[in-house]
Amino acid sequence: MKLKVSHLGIIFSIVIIISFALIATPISFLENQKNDAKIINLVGKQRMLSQVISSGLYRQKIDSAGTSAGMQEVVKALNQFEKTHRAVLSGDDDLGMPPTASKAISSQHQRVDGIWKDISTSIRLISSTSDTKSLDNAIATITLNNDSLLLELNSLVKIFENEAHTKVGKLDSLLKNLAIPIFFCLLAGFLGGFRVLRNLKESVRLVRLQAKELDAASGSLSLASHSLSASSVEQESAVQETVASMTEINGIVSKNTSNTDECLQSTKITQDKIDEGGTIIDSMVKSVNDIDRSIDDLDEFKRILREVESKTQVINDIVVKTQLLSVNASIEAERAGEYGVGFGVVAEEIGKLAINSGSEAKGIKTLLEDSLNQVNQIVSHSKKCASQGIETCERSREIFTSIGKQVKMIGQQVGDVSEASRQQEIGVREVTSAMKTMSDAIHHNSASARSCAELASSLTSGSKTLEELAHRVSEIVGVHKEGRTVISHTEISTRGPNEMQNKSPSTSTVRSLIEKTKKIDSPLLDANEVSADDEIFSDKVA
Amino acid sequence: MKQSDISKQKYLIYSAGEKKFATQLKSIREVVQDLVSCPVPNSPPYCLGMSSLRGDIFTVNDLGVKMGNEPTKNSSKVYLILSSEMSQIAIAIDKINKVLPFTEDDIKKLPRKGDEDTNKIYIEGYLDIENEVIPVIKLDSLFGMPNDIKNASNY
Repeated sequence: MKLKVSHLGIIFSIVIIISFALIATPISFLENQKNDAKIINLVGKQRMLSQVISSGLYRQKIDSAGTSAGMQEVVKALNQFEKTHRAVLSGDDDLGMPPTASKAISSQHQRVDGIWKDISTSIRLISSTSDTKSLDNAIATITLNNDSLLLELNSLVKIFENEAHTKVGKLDSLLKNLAIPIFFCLLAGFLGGFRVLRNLKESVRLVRLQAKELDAASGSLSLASHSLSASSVEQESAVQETVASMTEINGIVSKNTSNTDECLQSTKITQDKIDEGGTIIDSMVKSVNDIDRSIDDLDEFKRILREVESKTQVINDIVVKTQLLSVNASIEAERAGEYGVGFGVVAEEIGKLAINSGSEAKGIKTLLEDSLNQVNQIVSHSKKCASQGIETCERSREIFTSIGKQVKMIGQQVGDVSEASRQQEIGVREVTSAMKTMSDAIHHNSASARSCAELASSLTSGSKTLEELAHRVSEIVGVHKEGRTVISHTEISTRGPNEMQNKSPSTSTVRSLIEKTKKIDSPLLDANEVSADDEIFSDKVA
Repeated sequence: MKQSDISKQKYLIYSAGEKKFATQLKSIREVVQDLVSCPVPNSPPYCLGMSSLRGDIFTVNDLGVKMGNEPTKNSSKVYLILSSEMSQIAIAIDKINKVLPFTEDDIKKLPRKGDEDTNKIYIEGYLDIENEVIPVIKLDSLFGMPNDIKNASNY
């Protein structure tokens, strides 16, 4: 178990407590001893007082004149004894005696008291009645009890002395018992202290090493954080550019989407128009078919014409027959001779009428033929036109259907394009937002890098302070060897940012970025100054 | 009118094929249209056959074929029924044109030639009608009368 300073502290505190105790107990004990001495002195004094009383009484007796002064002295001594006697048991503030707690003392006191009571009463009796009898009585009492009183007082004093002795003895034994452990404790403490001191030296050396390493590490950290800051600023600008171009793209894509939507609308409209056209063509086909059918109805007309023709033919026949009849009539008239002349005339007229009718009928026939021809022509022409029209309609309808299909395809494709561009828009928006978050993150990164650089510089300065403190502690502890390295440390730290400057690439942006970071990281410059101071300091120290 | 026309005779002008002919109206008894003739075997080509009309039986001859036209079977023919006492003949013609009165002078006679028999027998003369020269035919002479026994024996 490595001896830690806390252990040493514990040991030292124990030692201190013990020494304090050692110092305190004798002092208190000496105090007690003082009191005890006082008490003993008083109790001893009591013996003297009793003797004074007895001697006074004897003198009174002897000096039978009986001076009141002598009696007064006796009484005074008596009072003093009383006082002291009472104080032994119950304490007295004037005398400075504490009340007794010892049983032995109190029992002894009882014995003294027993004896004293007789004496005191007899002596008081003297004072009250200035009677020689009482005096004699008192003297007798005193003579009787003086030895025993003295003995008791002696024993009381002895008891007190014994008690004081026992106390001393106790303390003495205690001290004797504690002396060796205390000694060992102190020894252990010293050994521990030495060990702790060695550990401390070792730790200080390690601390100095660590401080050196820390300094180096903080320097490199500072470099790294500088570069990180620079690159994050670059990143930020690049991301902002990207965000700008993404927004542009977004705008274009949304325009695209709207355009394709319009296109889709147009194709839809076109499709509707084509459908309309299709229906119109259908209606056209239907009307052409109707024309065809109505042309076929002309056949009805033709039939009627033919009927008319046949009827005219009949009329023609009738006309011919009438002519024949008129000829016959003429023949008969001729046969009749002169009687048939009128008849002949009638026949002639009939013949003429017949001829007229015939010619009219012929005219009618020609007209009919003409009209029939015309109708036929019209019918054939119309039929041709109708069939042509139907053909054209069919072709148109085919073309319309194909156009419709194409338009539908176009519509589908435009729909796809629209959908795709919408997806594109969504994607671009997502990318934009992602870029924005990335920009924020980079901003944070940049801020963190900056704070990192600042912290690195503060770390450098802190490591330098640590270095300094370690150096001081080492001095205190007694390690001088690493004094030189303090200077090299500071040199390294001063060279750090300069190195960075020299090693930067030749592009102006990076240099400007580094300038920026140098401006931002002003604590680093302060650290440079601090390290310069360190140099001076360490020079002085070395 | 009638008095001045006494000298005039009525002539029937008709056509057979493209040729026009004229005949005295006297020699024609009747003109009919519908005659059904049954062909007779071993008859000359211009003989269309026999037919009956109101109980009377006639020989039907085609004037066009006699005159050298192609026989036309399908066209409706007009039949002139001759009023001859001896023979009962119907002549098939195509069309009746007119009935016109003419005097004797109108009939222009041809100058006589050597071979006069056949000519003389059936063409009486020629009429000039509207700048058209129409022969006047004696139909009974043309189609062989019993009067002409020689001709009849040929049959």
